[in-house]
Amino acid sequence: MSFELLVPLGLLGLIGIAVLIIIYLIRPNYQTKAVTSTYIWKLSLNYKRRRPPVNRIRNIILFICQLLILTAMALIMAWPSLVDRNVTDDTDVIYILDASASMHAETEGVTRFDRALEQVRGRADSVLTEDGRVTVIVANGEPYFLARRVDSSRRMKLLSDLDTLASGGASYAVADVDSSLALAKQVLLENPSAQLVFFTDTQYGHLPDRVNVELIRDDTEWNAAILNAQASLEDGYYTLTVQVASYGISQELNVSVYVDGANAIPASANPGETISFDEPVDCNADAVKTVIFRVGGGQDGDDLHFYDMLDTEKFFSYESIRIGIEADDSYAVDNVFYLYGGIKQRIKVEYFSGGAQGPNPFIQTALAQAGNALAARNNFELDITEIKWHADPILEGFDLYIFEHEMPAHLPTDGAILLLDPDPTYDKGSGAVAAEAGFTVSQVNTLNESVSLAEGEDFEGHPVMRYIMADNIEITSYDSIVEYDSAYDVLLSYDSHPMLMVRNDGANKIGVMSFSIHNSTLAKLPENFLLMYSLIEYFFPTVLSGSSFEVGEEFTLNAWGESITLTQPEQTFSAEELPATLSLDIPGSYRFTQTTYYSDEVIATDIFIRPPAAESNILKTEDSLADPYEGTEPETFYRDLLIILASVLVGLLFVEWFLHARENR
Amino acid sequence: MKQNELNDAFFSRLETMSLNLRSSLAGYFGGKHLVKTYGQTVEFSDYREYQLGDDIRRIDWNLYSRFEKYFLKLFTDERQMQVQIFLDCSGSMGKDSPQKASYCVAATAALGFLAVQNMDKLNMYFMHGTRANDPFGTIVGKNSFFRAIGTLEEIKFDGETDLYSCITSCANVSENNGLTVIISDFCTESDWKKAVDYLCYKKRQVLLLQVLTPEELEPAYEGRVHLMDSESLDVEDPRNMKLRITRGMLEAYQAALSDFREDMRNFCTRREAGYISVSTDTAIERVLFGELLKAGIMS
Repeated sequence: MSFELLVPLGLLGLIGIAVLIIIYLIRPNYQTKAVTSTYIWKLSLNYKRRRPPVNRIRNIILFICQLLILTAMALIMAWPSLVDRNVTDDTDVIYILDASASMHAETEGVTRFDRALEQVRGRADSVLTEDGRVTVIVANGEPYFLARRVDSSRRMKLLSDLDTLASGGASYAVADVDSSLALAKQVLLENPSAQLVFFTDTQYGHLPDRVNVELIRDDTEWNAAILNAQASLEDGYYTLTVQVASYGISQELNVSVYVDGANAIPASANPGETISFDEPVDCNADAVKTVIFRVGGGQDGDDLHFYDMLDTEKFFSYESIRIGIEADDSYAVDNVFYLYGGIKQRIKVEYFSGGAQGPNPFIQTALAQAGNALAARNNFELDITEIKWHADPILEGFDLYIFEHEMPAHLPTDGAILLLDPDPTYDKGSGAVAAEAGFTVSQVNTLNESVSLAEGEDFEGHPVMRYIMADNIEITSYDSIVEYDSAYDVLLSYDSHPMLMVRNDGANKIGVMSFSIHNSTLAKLPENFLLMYSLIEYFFPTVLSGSSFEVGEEFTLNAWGESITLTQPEQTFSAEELPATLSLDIPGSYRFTQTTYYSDEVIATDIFIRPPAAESNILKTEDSLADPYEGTEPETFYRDLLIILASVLVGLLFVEWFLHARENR
Repeated sequence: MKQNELNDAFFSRLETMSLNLRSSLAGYFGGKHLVKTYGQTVEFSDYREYQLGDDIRRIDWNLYSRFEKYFLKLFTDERQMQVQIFLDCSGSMGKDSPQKASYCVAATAALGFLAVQNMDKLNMYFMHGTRANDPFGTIVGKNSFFRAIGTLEEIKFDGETDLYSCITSCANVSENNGLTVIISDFCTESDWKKAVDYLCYKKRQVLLLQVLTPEELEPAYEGRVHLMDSESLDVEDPRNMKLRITRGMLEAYQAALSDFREDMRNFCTRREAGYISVSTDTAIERVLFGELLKAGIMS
């Protein structure tokens, strides 16, 4: 409710105050009176001073009274009114129900969400019974209308929907409050006087007018949480960094670590060992503490605590790590955290070079550098097998076959293939292999001078060509490929002949480089490593973009085979169009399974979906809430103040008269 | 200034009155005031035994015949007193209030008449500034008195008067021989109390006649008033006052005036001096026949 002047020009009457002051300033001087002697008057002053200065106070009151009279008159002319734009209609109520993860916090077995839902149900039933309208908005990660201005005719349907919502419980995401208020605003645009009640566990410092917030939380609730954790290699052994917090109370948390499949070499042949250790950590209320488990420990700080891992506790690989805190808190979802990705995916590579010079050191270098990069960035591990000179190449059992100069009798069928310089002059049927690979190579063309390669027609935007400058690479001879399958992407070319082309259609994962690295400048260029890295990553994409994601966070799925399937905890998702994007709504461990093209090998990848760290603070406070009523035009109610002001004016006039009457007493 | 009240009718009413002075006063021979000393009047007073050197003509032979001792017959003495009247001629006594001036002159004349009627010597002093003028000298007898009062109408009331200086500087203040009357409103910063003390030291009988106008006794004005003192030299004179006269202020004035008069009365009582405070709206006869009789000054 606000105070407004309907005729502000009436305030011009306040000029009267200035006039009054002027009158006081220029009021008539003292009247001159000749007396025989002022001696007695001077004596009387002593008698006068002994009395309280009632007259002076009276004069001040009189002046103030006259000022107030003028002000009241000016206000009356300005037509003052109390304007209430915040009147809400309690027969049209919008309930926003916070369904964020923190609403899972429970007291005596009843979650906040259940308590809020019960209140919504009761109030909604009451409003509908009185022929009102009810809107229910569920504020989770993607807010939606559970009911939109339903009337009493749909009361049973609403109650049924609320029961269904109760059985599903709150989400594990962060509530999108702004979107929820945007939905509420849609209703408010239809009825700006609708009442809005927000049931939430977040305390807001400043609330807009007319927005009622019902705080659903209990003073006894507290939460011990693992906010985040990660493992990183440090001097050959893993260091664990764990962020823990205790909201509501200060206490000592015992952080326990269980490492499964530790130190397995190789992982497929060795189940590894189980390592466990724990560490008590003092946590101040509402403060985040970082606990670092590392070999050698470290210096503790205010928010930092180190644990020195014993020799029996250190590990260089793992299958999974379970980090947990044992606490009988109100919100148990964040008491466990899993880490995956501790075993690198092994890629078996065969490298066969048929030239008289034996294994090409440039290829060896490129493979070694690419292997390091893949290990660091893609969690891959290259297992390279080099075939000695003049020995026959092995045509099965590898994930990636690299043939240089001399081609095998036929192409292997269980892996990706790189054909480097498929020289037709060699006896061992490069022509047959080329035919299997889908191209035809005719002869070796020797150039009089080195020439730069050009970008192929599929160069632009191709993942293999990232960071590659085509004209950096110069050649002096090349294998002339005269025909090739349309499935090939031509990436580099010279004189309309493909110099580098790749295909990745189903089981056909073939790369062809039609020049010898010896007859080019590639060996001395960084493109040598970049090409090798990009080709391997192209044929063996990263399956998952990480091993830990927050609830609702989108991540990318890819596969070495035709599809990838979510198999644990239940088979609810299968992607055939790759790469795919997925987000999961429930925290926990998930396993994705894929089958490669070339064999029945099953590759399983585990990830952990963690609850939002922000939701672990179950006693959180926000500064302010957006005003959904902003932009709406509420009904305005005016309450005239003229009668009140007139009464005040009469009263002031009476007081002024009274004071005047007593002024000369 | 014309004195309408000084006429034959006024003085004829005073014929029967006389000043009643203390009998212990000394004085001059030839007056009508009986004193405690023995003299040559026919008024018997006492006997005493004859002593060597006494005039044998005054021996009472009748007593000798009865007691065979010589006794002298003693008679009371009559003395002539000196009456001094100090009239305050400051501005407050009449500059803006002719009625007050007329009243003071009338009182002076009346008291003077009573003095000369009793064969007393009369001196009338007119106090201006720090001097008391005695334009008529010592007046003895009615003829001299009436000549003198004929000029009283010419007295000017203005300026201020220092009562103490005027009285103490007066050269003709003799001791123990009569009455001194000070006629003033006593609304002055001058230390008139010292003047009274000085007169008492001179063993003179003192009478203070305070003359106030009705307006001084009960001011009738109110509101914001710039009071201009009649003795002030200009508007900025510190004796002038700016006052907001309210009922409370008037009450304070009455209290101050009452205390002022009471203080004068108490002071005079302690020094066996007479004090009479009169209002100019009180008839002069009433003052003479009422207040002075009541005070024992007249009989």
